[in-house]
Amino acid sequence: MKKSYVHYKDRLEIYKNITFVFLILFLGFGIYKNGLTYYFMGRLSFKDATSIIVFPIISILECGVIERIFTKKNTKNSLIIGLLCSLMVPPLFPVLSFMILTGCFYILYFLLKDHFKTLCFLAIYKGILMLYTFIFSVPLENFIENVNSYFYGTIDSLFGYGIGGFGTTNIFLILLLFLILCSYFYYKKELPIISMVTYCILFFICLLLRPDQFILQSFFDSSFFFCTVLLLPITTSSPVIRRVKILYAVFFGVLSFFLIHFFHIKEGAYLSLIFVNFLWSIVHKLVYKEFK
Amino acid sequence: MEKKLRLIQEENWQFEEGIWEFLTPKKIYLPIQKEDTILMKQKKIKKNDCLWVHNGEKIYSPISGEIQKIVIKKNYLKEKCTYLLIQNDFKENDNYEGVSNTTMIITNDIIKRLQQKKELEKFKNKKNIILCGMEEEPFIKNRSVLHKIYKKEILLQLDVLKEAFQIEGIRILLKENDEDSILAFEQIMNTYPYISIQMIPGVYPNTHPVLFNQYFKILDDDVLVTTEDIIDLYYEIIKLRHRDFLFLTITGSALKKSLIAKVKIGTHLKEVIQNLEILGSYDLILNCLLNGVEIMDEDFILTEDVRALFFMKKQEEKEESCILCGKCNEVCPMNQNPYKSVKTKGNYKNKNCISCGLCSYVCPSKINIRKYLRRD
Repeated sequence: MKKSYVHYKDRLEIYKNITFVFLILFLGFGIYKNGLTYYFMGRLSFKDATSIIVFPIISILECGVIERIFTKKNTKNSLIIGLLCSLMVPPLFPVLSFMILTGCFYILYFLLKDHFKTLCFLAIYKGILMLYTFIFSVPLENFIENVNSYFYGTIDSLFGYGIGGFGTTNIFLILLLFLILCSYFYYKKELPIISMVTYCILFFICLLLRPDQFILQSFFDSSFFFCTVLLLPITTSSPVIRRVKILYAVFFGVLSFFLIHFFHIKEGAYLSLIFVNFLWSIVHKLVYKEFK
Repeated sequence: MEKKLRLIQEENWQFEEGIWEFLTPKKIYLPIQKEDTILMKQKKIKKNDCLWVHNGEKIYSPISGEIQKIVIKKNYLKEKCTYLLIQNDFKENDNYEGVSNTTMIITNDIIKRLQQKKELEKFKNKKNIILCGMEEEPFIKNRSVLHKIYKKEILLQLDVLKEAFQIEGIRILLKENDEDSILAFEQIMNTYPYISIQMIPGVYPNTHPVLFNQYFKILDDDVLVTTEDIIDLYYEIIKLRHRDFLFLTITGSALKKSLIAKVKIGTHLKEVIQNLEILGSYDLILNCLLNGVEIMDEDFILTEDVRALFFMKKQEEKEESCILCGKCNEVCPMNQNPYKSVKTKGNYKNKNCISCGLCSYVCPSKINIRKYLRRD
């Protein structure tokens, strides 16, 4: 049986470039929101305000060096992963710890990716950051933002004023990127769509049962949208079969909603993704084990 | 289903205008079988001399020349076939006894000949003829050319069939992106008010025999024919001779210019290749780029079932590991699970697979999924 001599031209490079441009925009907004704004408000010193630029530089350099060591070449992937790692970090995270954690993460990623192919490593990375902040009592969320967020309106939350990673709070940009990615053939768009729909349905049910300003405000949880658009549909770490995809997305949406709204974990979407992905990975391994 | 199949992207292969005729090969190989009754005694033969009878059907010589010997060669399925080799003398001495000028008048003789033909019993008590003028494989253009050249003959033959079997209506199925065919028929359609054209989305593989019925809803009153069937009938019933040529789409990334060729049936492949402008080394694929057969040995005879030759530039294509995109499952027109077959290295069999090749086509990791799907 011979191979196919023609293949679908997938325009992967174009979409990688678009994602990269959007990540730069996220980064720019992160610097503006978590650095410049607070500096001009007099809440941060110039040193603190500019120190956040160090995160992307460190992570991109680390990812690039480690990728070269393991694969003997550099690709755009390490650039994108490096940027994503830096965007997910809380704004006032210790730089040295970030450097060590990111380096270890990327080394482990290269060592384990062939053995645990179906795991969502980026969500696990965020989970490690959360665990670190929990153990060492580092403020996971931007503490200034934590105070300010009570004064923000719905539109503010949509345009990036909210709690989350250093560059992951602009829901408007995230949704714009989602709309562009939807036109890419290999993007698993059904996963974000189903999970967002599930999340919205639960939100409206909750709002009908108990109309509350807090619920309305917490609906615009940027980490949920960021996680849904960029991490949930990663091809290697999400289901293949249609029915499983629906289950996966619905379960993720429901769990995220409960963690965010009832347990008040601001970045609960990442925890939800780690759990759902882990569960699916086990099932996937068990299902295909008998055929080996 | 339509959305699922609208995937195949056009390649930028430029086709030469018109048809490249290759009707005088040096040698012709005619398939012959042990049970055939040989009628020809002498070695020197004229074009259209009756050579032997196969299953009650007379086989005529497509060229004038000299009978050389019986040779055994493998066909593209690697089966051994016996051929009679005829050396062309290029004198074109013709012994044609049929009709040389095409008559456009339906005579009682023609109708009688049709009604007596056993193979045409399928037309009896049917209401509609459906002519499938669409190619199964997206890169083949034979039928478009046939429609362009034989539009009058096709419509005439359909008219004859209608008269002979009291058919009520005739529908020609054409792909909506096949402008040549649409234009060709529309120019002369007014003469035949009971013939209509139905445009079909140019998607793959809606013309596959397994999918055809569910896609186009062919009823019990309908009889389905192809363009080639009608042209063959035209030659047999009206011209009183067998079609001794075939149309070939010759295209691919290794060719300077793609072309549609008219070639004598029984021509050696190497003779055709010698006349083509090929750029560098190539892989030769027969009939379909998505699920065709790769020709490893060019010592091969062009028979009626050869529809296209694809000359593809040799390229080192490395299969990467599956990225779980799931597109193979999504595009499968038979709702099979190709992913499971890949994952289980072929231990899981998709019995309903029609081998359309869409899964391999969409795979971003360039995995030859088809090899895992069917192990029959």
